[in-house]
Amino acid sequence: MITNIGLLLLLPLAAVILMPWVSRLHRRAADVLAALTGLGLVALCLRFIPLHGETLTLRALHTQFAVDGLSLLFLVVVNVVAFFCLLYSIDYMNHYDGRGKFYALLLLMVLGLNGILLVRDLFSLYVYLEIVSIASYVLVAFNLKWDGIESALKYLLLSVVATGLILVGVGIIYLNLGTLEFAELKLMLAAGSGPSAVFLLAAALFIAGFGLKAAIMPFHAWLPDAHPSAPAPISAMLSGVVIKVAGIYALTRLFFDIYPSPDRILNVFLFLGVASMVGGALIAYFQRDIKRMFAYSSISQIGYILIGLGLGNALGLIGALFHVLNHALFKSLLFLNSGALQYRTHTRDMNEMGGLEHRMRVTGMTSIFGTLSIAGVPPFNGFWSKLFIILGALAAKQYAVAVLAIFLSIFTLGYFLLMQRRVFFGKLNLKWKDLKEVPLTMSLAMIFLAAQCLLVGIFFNEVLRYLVEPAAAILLGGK
Amino acid sequence: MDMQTTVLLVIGVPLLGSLLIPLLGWFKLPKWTGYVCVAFIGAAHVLSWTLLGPALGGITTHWTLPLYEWASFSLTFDALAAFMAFTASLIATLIAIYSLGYIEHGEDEPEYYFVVTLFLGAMMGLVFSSNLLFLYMFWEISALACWRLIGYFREPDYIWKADKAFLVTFGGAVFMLLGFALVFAQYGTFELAELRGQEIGPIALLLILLGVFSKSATVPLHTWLPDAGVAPSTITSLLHAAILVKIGLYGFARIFANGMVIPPAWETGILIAALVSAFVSACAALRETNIKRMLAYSTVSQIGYTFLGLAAFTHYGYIGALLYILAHGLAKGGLFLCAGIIEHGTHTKDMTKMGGLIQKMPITAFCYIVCALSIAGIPPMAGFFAKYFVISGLVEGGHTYIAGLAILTAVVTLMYMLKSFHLIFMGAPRGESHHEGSPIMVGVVAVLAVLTVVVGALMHLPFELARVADGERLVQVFTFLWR
Repeated sequence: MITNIGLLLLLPLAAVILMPWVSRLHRRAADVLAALTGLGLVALCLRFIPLHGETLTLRALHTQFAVDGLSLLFLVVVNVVAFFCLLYSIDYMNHYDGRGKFYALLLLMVLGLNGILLVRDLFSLYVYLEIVSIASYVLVAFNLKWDGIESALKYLLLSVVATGLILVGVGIIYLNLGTLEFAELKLMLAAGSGPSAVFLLAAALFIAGFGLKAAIMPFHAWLPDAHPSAPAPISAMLSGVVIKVAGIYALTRLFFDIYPSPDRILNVFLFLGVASMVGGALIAYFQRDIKRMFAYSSISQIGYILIGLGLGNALGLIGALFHVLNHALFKSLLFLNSGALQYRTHTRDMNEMGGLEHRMRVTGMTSIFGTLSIAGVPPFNGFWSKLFIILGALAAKQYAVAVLAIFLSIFTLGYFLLMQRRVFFGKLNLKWKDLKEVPLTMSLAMIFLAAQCLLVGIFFNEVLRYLVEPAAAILLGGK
Repeated sequence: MDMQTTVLLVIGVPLLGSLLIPLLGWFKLPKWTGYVCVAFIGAAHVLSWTLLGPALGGITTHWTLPLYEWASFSLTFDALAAFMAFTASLIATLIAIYSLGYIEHGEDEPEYYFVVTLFLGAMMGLVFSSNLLFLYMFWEISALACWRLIGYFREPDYIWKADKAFLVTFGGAVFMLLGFALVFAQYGTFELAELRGQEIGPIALLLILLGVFSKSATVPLHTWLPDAGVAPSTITSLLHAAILVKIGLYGFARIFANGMVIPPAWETGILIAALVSAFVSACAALRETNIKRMLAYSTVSQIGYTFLGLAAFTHYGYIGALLYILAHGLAKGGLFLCAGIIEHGTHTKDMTKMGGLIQKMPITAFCYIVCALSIAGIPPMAGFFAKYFVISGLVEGGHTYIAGLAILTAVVTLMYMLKSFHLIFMGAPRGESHHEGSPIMVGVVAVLAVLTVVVGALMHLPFELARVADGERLVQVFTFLWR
């Protein structure tokens, strides 16, 4: 079992290294290798589930790699979404040249994400964060068009600021405490050593740095450019997974597991969460570009997650972590939908579409699943996580937050219905009368993700028991 | 077959069966979808017959499937649930049969029957759930179904109205969910059985009423319902008569009439809100010339009437409200299906452009007036008895003035019903192409009209059921006094 931890990193690494040769063998060989790697990673993750959040540690290369409840939840999210993105890419990449390079970069990104989740010290975390970032920059610009390159540069510049802030924070911690190991930091902070003013400075640097990575509202400027111009599976990875692992996971690990935050830090989370939730949704409403709309809606949903964290009680934390999983499923589904639309119509402008459900049944149907999940309509998965967050807000006596969260879920449904009305639900725009549904693997990826949105909603108790509650137990460890 | 299996089948057959219907469309068998839909809904109805016997015997049972600490899927069987399941599935079955003649074969046919079946399944689930979370879940599934169905014709304007209906009912319902969450924060449970007899806080009550009133289209949250008239007539009939607006009423009855206690000061407030809704929308119906909008305002008014019965919190008021749900369902279902025939025959919804249709559509005209008189509360139609008991319940509760104004509303109702009959059917015929509907459509309308009279004649049967449904409440009041 412990070797499986190593495989989570070695399997994608091997695939990345083999990819240039394999892609020369046959046109389809790269597809098979990528899909099998993705499937293998999912299988590896699922084998950890019966452990019920027990911690497993692997020591190699003077570094510790460990799986606990919190990393397991995120590992499942990363690898499941990555598998469906790889599956989807098989047909989607017909648009682009260089599918071998694409798969190699995508798997490199997965490698980095798994690394972030497995390492047990701050410096390695930083290293893997940079691996993810470098893969992402190239992938955002993968279409080699002006908008892609421009937004990749923007993403690069802002990310450098973020990682710079994080690195300074890491430096401050090392200077003052002399270690970067999570376990030792936890002990030292619990013992009360370490000057608090300096530590608060480091905390501020981390919140800003990881906040930039998570695209929380005042730090969000790069996301609405970067996510839309990337190829759709990459948008799905970035919005569904990367902002959560690079941002939310790091924040939870630092501010809940290692250092059980005092209320003033939690209030910062709460405030940033409300700002993102409201701001993201308001801007999303006015978008004509379907992927930009989804990108802003990601900011809004990240806000929900932060609110759940900021509430700091069990209900809120469970809600936040559950929302991480749910948002990954439905937002990657929605981005894959938008990719399917772009694949056939070659546009992202919603006003040019219309009535497409008559020609693209699968895309239309699955986008309804995504819409209902994100709005929190039961029995879809988004309902349960939002319910937990609202119950948490009431338990914490944050009534205004609860009312805002409720109101914003109506607003979210509103702008997603607007999307449905412009794109799918209505009379067919005659311009598209010869349109066909997208090819098989793209349809399959969307169908599977949509099915998961529904199944997680129906079997929410099992998901809570095996994935979310062990993760929440770690966050609540200090309380 | 034991009761638990029956109840699960009544819910499961339409809810899970609906999932088969898109498959039929997928395998290029769209023509079968209608029959499959009728079969599933009809099966649910036939099964609900077997529940009537135990319900009349006063049996109540409760099953719970624990899922999470505070979220368990629990079902309650009692006379109220059996009554509602029977009524809703009866009317839905008739409407599904009528659909066979009404819905044209086309690309969207499987979706139509899929969503209709899902809709009834959600209603059945709602009727038997006794956990607030699952009540909310089925509540939202019905909202989702009505979103797809209202936009069925896919005109841009219609889609906007479908979105409006979805947003208003969803908006109301999530605030209701916040109300449930407040109840949870106070009492630590979502189980209605455990909440029975607890007093609800004013803010939670207000939030729950927001959900109930938005779903039941009560003034001022009613505007989506007249707009929803752009749906196919079968769907408006389903929304008004069988399922959707009844959900709010049922939810109110389930949560408050036999469960949580409303602070006394609020009871009068709800009565006044219901009365205002009933009267204002009756006046709106009087002015409306679009037949479906007129009928929609009439529904808003009748829903207000039903709330009067429920919120009187008296024995007769409660019985009257339940009878009202049955009587209004039959009559309004019939009226909307008549409107469907008229619209098919004349290609207009504007009543001022109709006239003299009695010569071309004698059966439809006859059914229309029977149902219209039932809504207005003319004996011997079923509507009369319902109205009588509601008013009697109001008087019993000491709300004499409100009872008087309710009678005034009934007079206005008679006025607009007669006016509409006059505009549509009397006078000189206009247009030559008008024709009677297909036999299946006219047949269903005739069945509804006959049922309206038969239920009126055999009023003691539903009365008995409604009395049993209220029985528990009486016992409770009694034990409370005795203590």
